[in-house]
Amino acid sequence: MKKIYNYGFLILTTIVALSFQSCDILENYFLNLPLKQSIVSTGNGPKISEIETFCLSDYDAYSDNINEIDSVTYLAVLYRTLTAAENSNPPPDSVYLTPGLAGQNINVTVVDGDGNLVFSRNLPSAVAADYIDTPYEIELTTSEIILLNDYLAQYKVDSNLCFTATLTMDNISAGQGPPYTLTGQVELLLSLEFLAP
Amino acid sequence: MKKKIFLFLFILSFQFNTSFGQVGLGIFGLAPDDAGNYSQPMATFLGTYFNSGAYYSADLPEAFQFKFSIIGMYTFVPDGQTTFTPNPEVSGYNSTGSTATFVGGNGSYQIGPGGFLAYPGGFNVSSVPSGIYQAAGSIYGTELMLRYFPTITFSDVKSGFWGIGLKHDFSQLLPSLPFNIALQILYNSFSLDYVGDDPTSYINIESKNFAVNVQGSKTFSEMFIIYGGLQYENSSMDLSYYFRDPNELYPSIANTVQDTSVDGDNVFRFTAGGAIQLMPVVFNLDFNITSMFTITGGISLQI
Repeated sequence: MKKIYNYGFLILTTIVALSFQSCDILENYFLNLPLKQSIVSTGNGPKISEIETFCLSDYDAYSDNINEIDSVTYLAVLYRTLTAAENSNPPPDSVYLTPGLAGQNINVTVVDGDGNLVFSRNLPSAVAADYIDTPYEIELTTSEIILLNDYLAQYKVDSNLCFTATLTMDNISAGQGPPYTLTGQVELLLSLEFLAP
Repeated sequence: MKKKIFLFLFILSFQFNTSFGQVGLGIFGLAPDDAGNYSQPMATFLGTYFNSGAYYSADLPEAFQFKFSIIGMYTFVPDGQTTFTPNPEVSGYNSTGSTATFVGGNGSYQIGPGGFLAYPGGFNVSSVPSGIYQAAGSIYGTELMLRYFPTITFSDVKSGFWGIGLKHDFSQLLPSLPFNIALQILYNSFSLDYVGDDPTSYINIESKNFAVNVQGSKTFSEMFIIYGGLQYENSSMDLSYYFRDPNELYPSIANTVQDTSVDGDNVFRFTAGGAIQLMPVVFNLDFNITSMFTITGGISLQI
């Protein structure tokens, strides 16, 4: 009788252990990660431009869990104008958008860490304030998305994937300056797929 | 024998630790109201889990009886639990549409004056196997049931649970009834706590689950039992977590510990099942119609 109980317990334990380990109750998990980079373009005109670099490793959700990530893919990108931004050369701590700033073009260009162009777009309106309450979602072409995802797939080889964003306003025609200041932000939304635990 | 029991209990606890620890990854990026909605299926599941498997017979003898039961469960997650309506409470962002709960699929995103508001996805959970064990002693038609697993730490996560149940067989008061009838009250508590060194990974879950049921059973040939019951239950979960604010839309509460409470979707349950007594071992199987349909099967040592 004791043997029956022992074998029964062993069988039950094995069944439970196997069912827990073979039944993947949790599938791969997707986390949407926004990469937000502010850019302050300042100068006396007629053209002002600034470059900023941002990297995936700057974000804890990525860097803390990189061993569990199965894929990194592109979801969306936008530009928006900030009324104020952090000054990278203090003092003062903040710099402010030049009131009434407008020009011929507002251009947003993003290049990946390998120096390949991700996209370059002139925004529909060259009035900076038009994008304060209404960010502009930049539509990438199919080929641009493919190239970007190919770059993102390199995280398995080089975990520190970076991008360089350039914000430019050409032929400034309005605004309380010089100097003129365009405070903007480029936001890149990525999807991180995590392996099931 | 003690080693075997501990091994079995360890396997059960390991599965819970691993699964629930991953949920924090999504919760860390949500403001408190959305975090509660995102994790509500967890509250519902814990209520369903802890309020299951508590009986297979309403008959309690006058003489002393002891039971030890190991119960397996299989819970189905309905589609209605996989999404929720976002409530960002930020000007310029909508409380419309849907996004995934932690058992759902992909998370959604919105664009507003503050840029992207991105929601986490879920784990695409459609069903959950689980198990539990319990011990019960009864005399004079009254039973005390206990569930307990000591708090253990595994991979920076500490968790444990305990439960208590009290049941009384009222059959003697209703001798005309052709079956046994009993009233049972249950209370179960579960906790999970991050105890690692990274303050930005802090999460604490406290789950409290209550149920009261009226159950009936009839035994045939002293071997076959048919049983069923109607149960009222509720579950609540207190959630405390480090809010990372990845969307940069909540500057006043970003990078602080936030608290929220969420009630599970459990209210009523109907149970129907059968058992076979091959004394001193009893095998039972029942079906539970509740917010998450659950099948339970158990093996009990009854002496």
